Amino acid sequence: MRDRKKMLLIVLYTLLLLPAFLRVDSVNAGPYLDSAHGDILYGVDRYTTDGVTPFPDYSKGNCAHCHEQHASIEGQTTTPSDYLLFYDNYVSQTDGVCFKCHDNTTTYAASAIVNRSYSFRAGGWTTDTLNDILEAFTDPPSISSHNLGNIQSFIATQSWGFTSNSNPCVACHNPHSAQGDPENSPNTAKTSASRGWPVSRPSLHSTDNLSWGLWGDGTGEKMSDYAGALIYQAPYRYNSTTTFEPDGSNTQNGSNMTDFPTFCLDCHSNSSIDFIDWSASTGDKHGKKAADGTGGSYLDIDTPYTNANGGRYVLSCTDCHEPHGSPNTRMIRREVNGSLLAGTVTTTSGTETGYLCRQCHTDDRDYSSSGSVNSWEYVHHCAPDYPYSQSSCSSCHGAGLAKVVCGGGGGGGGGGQPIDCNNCHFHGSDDSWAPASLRTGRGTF
Amino acid sequence: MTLNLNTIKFIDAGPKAFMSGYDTNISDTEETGLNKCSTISHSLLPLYLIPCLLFTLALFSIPSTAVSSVTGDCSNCHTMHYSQNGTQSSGWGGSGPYDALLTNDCVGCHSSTTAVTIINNTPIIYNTTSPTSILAGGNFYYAIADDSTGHNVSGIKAQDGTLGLTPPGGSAMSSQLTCAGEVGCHGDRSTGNNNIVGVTGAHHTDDSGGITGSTVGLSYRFLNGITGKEDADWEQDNINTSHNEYQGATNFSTVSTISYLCGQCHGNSGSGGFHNSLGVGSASPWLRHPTDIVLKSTGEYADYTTYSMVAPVARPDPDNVMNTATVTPGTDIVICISCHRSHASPYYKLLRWDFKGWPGNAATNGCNVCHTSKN
Repeated sequence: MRDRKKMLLIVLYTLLLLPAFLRVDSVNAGPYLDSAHGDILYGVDRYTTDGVTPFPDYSKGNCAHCHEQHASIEGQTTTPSDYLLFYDNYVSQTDGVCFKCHDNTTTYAASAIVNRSYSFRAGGWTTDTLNDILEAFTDPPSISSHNLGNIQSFIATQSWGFTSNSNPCVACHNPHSAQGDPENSPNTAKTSASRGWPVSRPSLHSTDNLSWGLWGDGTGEKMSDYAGALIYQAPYRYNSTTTFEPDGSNTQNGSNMTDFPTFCLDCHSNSSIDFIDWSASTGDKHGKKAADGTGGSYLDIDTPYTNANGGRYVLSCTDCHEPHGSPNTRMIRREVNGSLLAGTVTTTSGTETGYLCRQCHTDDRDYSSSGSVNSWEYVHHCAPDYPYSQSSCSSCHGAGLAKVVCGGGGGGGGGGQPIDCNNCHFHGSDDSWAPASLRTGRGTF
Repeated sequence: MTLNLNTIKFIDAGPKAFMSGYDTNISDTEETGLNKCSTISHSLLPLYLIPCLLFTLALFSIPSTAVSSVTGDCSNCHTMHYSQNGTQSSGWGGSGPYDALLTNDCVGCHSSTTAVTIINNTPIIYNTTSPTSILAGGNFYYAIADDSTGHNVSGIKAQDGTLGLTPPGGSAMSSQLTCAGEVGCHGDRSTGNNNIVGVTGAHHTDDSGGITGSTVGLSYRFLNGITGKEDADWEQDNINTSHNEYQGATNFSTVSTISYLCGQCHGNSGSGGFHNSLGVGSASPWLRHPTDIVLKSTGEYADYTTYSMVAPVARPDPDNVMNTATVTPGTDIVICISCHRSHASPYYKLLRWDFKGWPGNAATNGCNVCHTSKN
């Protein structure tokens, strides 16, 4: 009897021990299966229509839609590419493996892949006709876009694990994690229910998908986190004064918004490329640095921004810029803060940049019906906290300009021209362009 | 050729057949161990579990090994005149006489009309009914209905309708793939296009001294020149404490690896090859999935530490594996067999899992065994 008990104990012991030695392969859903590429319903789905290469009916989301394990399909050898991709990782600004599917055609993709502008997705401007990533990088219609070659070169020089072979798109997007934003509904603006998280910080790049996670989806990765004691005010959705970017909800404080400054500054804090300083101490006023004011008065700003919070706002890069490309220069959005820009910004020379500024700042037309769209006499010369008195006009304008909204009439006799916005207004600028006697020393961006 | 697909009843043969004496020894050891445990007093319960624990650990850490050649009566495999009472025995193949006075050919001996995959210690690699527990190499059962799930071996099915005589990554063969011989995987290819001649004497080779690869009989599974450690039950039990140990290397040129063998047909040279630096690359970014490459010890690969029967790895020294159930990133090696079965599998391209159906099938993706964070 005692032996039988011992035997039973040993058997039980062995049964308890066995699982420790036997591997049980289980199905684990991770970030890839939650991604746009890995989704079983709308994930990657290659179907070549070149008439030569038959492509097997892999499940949607399958690795093989992007990666050829042996560059051999049904006995036909295909041209192998880096990382086992079915096409070269990067060729040019408009050619590379990503563009083979993100081009709104069925040349490679089983169904045309539509991706919209940020103005469409977050801004809610759903009549924007731009509908794929390749188009966003193509001139025309875009006249500015992120330079993929420069990105590829830049990230390879950082200690982030990229190489000269890396795909520049991967600087911003982890292809094994990036989510649809919105998810599988490219023809509608995103909502709080449909929104996803498409970017990953390049400085956190890793071949370990768990280490190189999405950016914006977690605690501490929101604009509200970035703003801290300052204020992030979400811009209006298109044609609305009650709903806000990025998801059309009434959330306004950025708690539903990716901290894009931190994301973008991974690269743009480097002096070798378009340097941006968004810091409180030395940065731009659109960033964390406090706006200048006089006696608590600040330049007039449009709703939903208020002068009561003047000096405390911090903006997201995407409030003004498209991430991929734009028909405006400097990737300036076509829709900002609830409405379309009144004109195209083809150059930073001249005053076209003002079309962007007036989306949040008070131009003469906003101030007075007698003023003109994208004229800036009011802000510069008679608004509360105006920086320059209306005297010595020719010192800046070459000749006098007629006063229009600031008291009317008078002026220096006409013949003068508006000043190029770019003389004083660009990232990192101040008014040092102005004659020494008129300079305020203020930051002007 | 007419195949004899009758159940094999009397054959005690096959590559590295499991000795009956070895069975007995293991059994005796188990018995002894149990007896020792049973004589210890209850008052020493915690203490007497210690030797049991040690015994169990030892049992699981001993690499299983087939240690000798085929045994049994000659007539199990041979017939002097291919005649028994004026006809052929029911257990013989029907298209004899066969070379080497055998009673059947390769396929005939290693096939079954049942679902059983080991019969009288003979590994069955082709069942005509769905096999219950496939062996490490897979089972040609799956290739019958679908060319893309198995190698098209002569005597089992016709040549591949899509690939013809050209294996992907390689050059056209002179004739259809065979088990052994000039266009076969097993045996010596220099002996001509004959299955039996290709493996002559191999079944009788005593390999108790080790799998050295010096002869066909001393090669892993009679794959000429290949080394490794052979699991006694051909991985029928499919557990990671007892399995084949494959030979790997850290380059494409080591001729004793299982991947090199695959590359002999699938491209050990040429830009289209699957197992050479011209076709695959020599470092990341790879052009094709590398084999005979060390599983990296960094990033997501570092998490592959428990040996997976879904996506196994090779070892640099299969004869000296301390713990068969573990994987050591930075040391162990990715091979063709990490993803593919050698004979046939239920899945597209002989894969070890339903890759083609993933992720829609909600099943395990073997890719994730190594690429642990890409799920």
